Amino acid sequence: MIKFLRNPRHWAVFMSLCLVCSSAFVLLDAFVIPKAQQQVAVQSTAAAGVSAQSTKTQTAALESGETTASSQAAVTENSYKDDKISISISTQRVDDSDVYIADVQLADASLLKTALAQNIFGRNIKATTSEMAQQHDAILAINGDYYGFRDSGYVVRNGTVYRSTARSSDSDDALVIDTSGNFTVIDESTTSLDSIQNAWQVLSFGPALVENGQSVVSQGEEVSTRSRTTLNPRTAIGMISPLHYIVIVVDGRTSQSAGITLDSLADLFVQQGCSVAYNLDGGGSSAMVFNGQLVNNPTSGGSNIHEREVSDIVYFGYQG
Amino acid sequence: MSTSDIRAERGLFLGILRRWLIAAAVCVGVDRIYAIFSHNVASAAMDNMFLYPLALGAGVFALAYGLFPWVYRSPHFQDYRNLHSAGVAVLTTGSMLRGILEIAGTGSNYLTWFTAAGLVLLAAGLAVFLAMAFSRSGCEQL
Repeated sequence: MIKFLRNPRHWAVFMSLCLVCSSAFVLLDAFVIPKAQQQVAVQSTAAAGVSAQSTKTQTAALESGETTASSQAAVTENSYKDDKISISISTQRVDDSDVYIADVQLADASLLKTALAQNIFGRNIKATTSEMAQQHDAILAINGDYYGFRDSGYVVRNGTVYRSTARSSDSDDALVIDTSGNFTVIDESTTSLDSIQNAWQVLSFGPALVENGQSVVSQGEEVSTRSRTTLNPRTAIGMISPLHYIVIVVDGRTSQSAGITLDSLADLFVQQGCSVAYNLDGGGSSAMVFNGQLVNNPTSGGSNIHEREVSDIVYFGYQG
Repeated sequence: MSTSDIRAERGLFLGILRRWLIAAAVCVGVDRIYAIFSHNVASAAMDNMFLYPLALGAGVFALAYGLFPWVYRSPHFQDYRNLHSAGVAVLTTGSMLRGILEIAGTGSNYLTWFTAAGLVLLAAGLAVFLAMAFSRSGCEQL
C-alpha cells in the first residue's frame, strides 16, 4: 500500500479523493443534513375565542376581496382587528425599495409567538415562513433569526430554553422579549442566559438598530464585520411601547427593489417612534405573511421570487 | 555533479514552482468568482487562501532549492513532495471551506480537522526534508 501511494500520481489521486469526500461531508453537514435535537412541546391553545376555523374563514374572505367583520375580528386586505390583536400593514417606497411596515398592538405578550420549523429544534430543520405561518394559524408572521444555521446564540422560544450557548462572534446582540412584552437588547458575551429574568423570547441575530429611541447603527455598519455595506432585503422588529410593535420587511436584490442599508432601516424605526428595534435574518430569508398570504417578494437574488426555507418564524396569533 | 544533473534539478524545481503558482492563481480566481455570489460578504479565510500555495508551496520549494538544492536529487524527495504538497492542499481546502461557511454565516467544528491534518502532513514532510537536508553526504543512502 505504501509503495502504491509513493507513486506521485497515485498519491495525488488518493489525496484528491480524500479532499473531495471530506469537503462534501463538511458542506452537507453544514447546509443539508438535518439534525434534530429537541421536539417542541405541542401547545393546544386557542385563546381569546378566535379558533383556527374562524381564521380560515377570514382568509377565505380575504381571497375573495371582501372585508369581513365578524363579532370577533375585522379583517381587510391589510389590516386585522379583534379585541386582543390589532394589525395594520402599510407599504412605503424608501431608497428605491419596497418597504412593508406592520403596526401591531396586542392585549397580551403571549400573543407574540415564535415557531420552529417542523416543531423541531435542530440544525438544518427548515420550512418556509408561509408554511410555518399556516401551520400555526399566524395572523402576521415574519422570518426569525435562522438559529439553525449556527451552533451558538441564545434560543428561547415561547418561554422554553433551547440553547444557552452564547455567541462569541463579532456581532452578539440578542433581543430579549420578556413576559410583559418589553424589548431589551443584551450582549451575549457579557450577559448569561440565566441572568435574564422572565424571558419569553430571545432572538439571536442582530445587530440592535434602535435603543432608547435613537439609532445605534453607525453609517456603513453591517450584520457582520465581514460584510461590506450593501443594500439588502431586511427583516426587523421594533417596539414603540410594550405590546405595541413595528415589524418591517424590505424587498431587495431586484430591479424593482434594491434593498436598504442597516442605518436606513434603523432610521425607519426611529421615524415610527420605536424605542427599541432589532435586526433579524434578512437577505433571501426576508418574508412577511399576513393571513396566509405572502406580502413581500422574497428572493435570494434576481427575478426568481420564492421563499427560502428558514428555521423559525416570529408571529402574532392565538394558536401555539 | 554533471551539468545534466543540474539542468534536471532546475527543471524539476521550475516545474514544481509553476504548479504552485498556478494553484495560487486558481485560488485567487475561485475567490473572485465566489465574491460575485456572496452578496458583498467577505471572508479573510477565502480572500487569503491563495497564500497557502504561494507561501507554503512555491515559497517553501524555492527556499529549499536555494538553500538545500541537493535534496532535489534525493530518492526520498518525492516522499517529501507528496507529504508537503498534501499538507498545503489540505490547509488550502480547509481555508476555502471556512470561507464558504463564514460567508454563509455559519461554521463547522470539522474545520479544525483540516487544520490538524494539514499540519501533521506538513510536519511529516518536514521530518523527511530535514533528514534529507542534513544527510548531504549520504543523501543517496537515506
